[in-house]
Amino acid sequence: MNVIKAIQHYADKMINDVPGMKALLLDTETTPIISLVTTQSSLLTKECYLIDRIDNRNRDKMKHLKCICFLRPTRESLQYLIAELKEPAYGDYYLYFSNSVRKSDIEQLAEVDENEVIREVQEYYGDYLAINPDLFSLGQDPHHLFGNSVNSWDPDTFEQTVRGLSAVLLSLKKKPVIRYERASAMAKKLALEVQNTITSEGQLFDFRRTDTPPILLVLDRRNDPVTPLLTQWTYQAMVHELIGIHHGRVDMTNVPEVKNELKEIVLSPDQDPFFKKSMYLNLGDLGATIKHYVDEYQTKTKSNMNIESIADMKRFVEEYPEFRKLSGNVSKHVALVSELSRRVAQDHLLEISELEQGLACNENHNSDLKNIQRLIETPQINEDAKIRLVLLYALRYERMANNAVKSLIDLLDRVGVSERKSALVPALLFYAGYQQRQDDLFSNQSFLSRGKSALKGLKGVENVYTQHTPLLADTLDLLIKARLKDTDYPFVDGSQYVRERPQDVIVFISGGATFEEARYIAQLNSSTPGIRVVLGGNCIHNSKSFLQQVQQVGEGYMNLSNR
Amino acid sequence: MNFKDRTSEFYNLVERIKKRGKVSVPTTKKQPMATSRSEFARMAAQLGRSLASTSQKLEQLTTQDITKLNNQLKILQSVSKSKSSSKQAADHTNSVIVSLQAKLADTSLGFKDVLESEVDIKQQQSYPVPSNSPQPRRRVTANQQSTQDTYESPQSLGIPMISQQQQQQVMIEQQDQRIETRSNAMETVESTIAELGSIFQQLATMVAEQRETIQRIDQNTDDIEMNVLGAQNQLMKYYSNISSNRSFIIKVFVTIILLFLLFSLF
Repeated sequence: MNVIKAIQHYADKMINDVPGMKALLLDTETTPIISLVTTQSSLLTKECYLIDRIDNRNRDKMKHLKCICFLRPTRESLQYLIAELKEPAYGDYYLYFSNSVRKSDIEQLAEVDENEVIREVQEYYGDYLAINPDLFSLGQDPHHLFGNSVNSWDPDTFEQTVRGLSAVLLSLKKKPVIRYERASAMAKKLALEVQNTITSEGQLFDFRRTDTPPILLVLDRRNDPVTPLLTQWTYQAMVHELIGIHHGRVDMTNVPEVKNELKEIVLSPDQDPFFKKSMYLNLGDLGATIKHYVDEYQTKTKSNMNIESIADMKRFVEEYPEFRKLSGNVSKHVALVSELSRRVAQDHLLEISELEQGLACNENHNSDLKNIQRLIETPQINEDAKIRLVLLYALRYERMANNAVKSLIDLLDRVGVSERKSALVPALLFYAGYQQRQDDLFSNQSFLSRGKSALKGLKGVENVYTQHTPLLADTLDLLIKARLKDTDYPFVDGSQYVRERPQDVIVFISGGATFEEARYIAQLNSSTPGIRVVLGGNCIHNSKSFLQQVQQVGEGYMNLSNR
Repeated sequence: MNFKDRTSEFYNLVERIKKRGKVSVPTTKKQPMATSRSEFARMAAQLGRSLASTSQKLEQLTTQDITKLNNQLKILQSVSKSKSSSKQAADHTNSVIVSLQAKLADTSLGFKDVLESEVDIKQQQSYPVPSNSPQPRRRVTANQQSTQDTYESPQSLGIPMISQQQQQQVMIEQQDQRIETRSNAMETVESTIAELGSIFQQLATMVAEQRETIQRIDQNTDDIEMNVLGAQNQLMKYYSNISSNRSFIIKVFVTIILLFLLFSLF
């Protein structure tokens, strides 16, 4: 149940199976898949001397190289592949497809292969982006999520989602029992289609039976619109929220006073042990660990300074590459963390986040309203942050009779927030308002849950800024205790399974997952032995991308349904 | 980490497409083929006839015919190569040639067998059966001869007589030596067999020893099974105990609450 390991295994197998010098050809989809799990230097050690894109047509002819093509079988990449095979630039071709290939496509390849250069055709199901060991993304654009209405899929996105999800199942060797969110038409359609794929590809999914079948839980983002709106304080989530992580890389070009070599940095838990250790720490703890790290670096520097004997020189020369690596890593993380703390100070994130967490977790209408009004009137605060506050307010107090959503929108207008942005409030309520949600998101709908949240409040919170736990936590908690209701989360094939605690759970959130949820999953995995959970989504949201998605909903679909 | 190998499928498709490509090649060269094929057939028929005659001649142990036939076959092959164009015709010529070759090979093999058997027979005749006839009797006859010789020696007095006797003595010595080496070999064989016997005996004792430990292991597994069953029984008992406790607690609580409500309301 480690998605990074799974893809790495595919990549290693691909490269080790072909002996001799080789070139690796990728397409636009598989490039990030491979780059997330391996490095160029590790490929070079396995005699893979050339890595190129298949859509790059001016490649030199090198008949002495063998060519490994790792491609997603899309129309486009197949066209490029056919053009490549008509004029082969390399000696032998080993074709690896990241998903199942249609028979007609193979036939076409066979027809084109006049030079008889194809040696192998394989399907390696590495068709998703492995971000953390327990987090994967399908890397889709949230703009192309919806079809005709906000309840239906875009056909292309849907096809790719089904293929990607079945690739995840195949690469993890799981034949799951599928459950989905009852209220979400999209989740239901996806779950049914995945089940169809499993039954039609019965031979592929024929794995060794486990005692308890793994569970694939298909959720919908609209059931929990709060999580992507909150300011994040743990390292990975915060970097994504404030700067943005794209395919494991962080673009630092907009950061002031940054060195040239740090314009673009790589954050990968697989290749960077410090990041692996600290990715789920909050900013305060992160400061402490990074101080340790710098101290360690300093002692190394000192020990490298005093070179008095030949033995010292020898040691220095031996340790120097390691030392350079360490220094690069230290400066990378120091630059990132200093940028994060700069942004925290500049955007008044502490103040905003406290209010956000309060809105998300506790019901306190009057003081919340007062605080929001005060913050909206503060000119130093970012427009997006103001909008997010109003959105959270609207979500929490949507059902309250005398709520002040209208007046808050007016207030936004008065302080000069554009109408386009304030239109997000009705759009969000349309997309993920009370009627669209299935679960008791704010724990205020029944007497029992009110009592529970009151008890939680009595206990007190450790950290005001990270007190919110995503709704996913409650759902998974119930699932693991085998108490998740069949009526709310029905099984696809309708059959009643014996209630037993699941061991392996794959959660897929259609409409995008977040790093806060990923952090929760990682904690769950490490704290409860015997249970392994993997989280995935169409994409990984930060507040910006989620608001774009909501905006698109507002512009594209709201008028249609009103008419 | 599952994957699916579709290489064979791909190769099958390639094969199929290749075949399709061959079939679709236009068959325009058919008419010139007809004459050449009849010529070919004629030659093949001739060859077949001559082959038949060769098999007859074989009895007269003629080797030259085979080489000649071989040459003729080669010529036939070259003819077919120079003329072959369409696939089916080429197949046909090929199969004819191959069958002819096979026949030729058969006949030559038969010839060889005959030769070999003859050679064997000759060899058996030439060697004076040293193994088949029992040795001791020979020695007896030799002795008899020698005694006869000694008896006749005063009568004959010829030198050749003495030389014959000496010769026979040498023969006897040689035979003795041979017998001695044989007996030695027999002894070594006997000793190795005895050694083997002792080894097998050792093995048997070892196996017997193993039996005891295996029996002990068997007993232990039986014990384990019993223990596990006992543990399960205890667990089940405990579980039923707990569940009954739970229901009891719930009942007590319900009654307490009911009483409390009763008292507080009235």
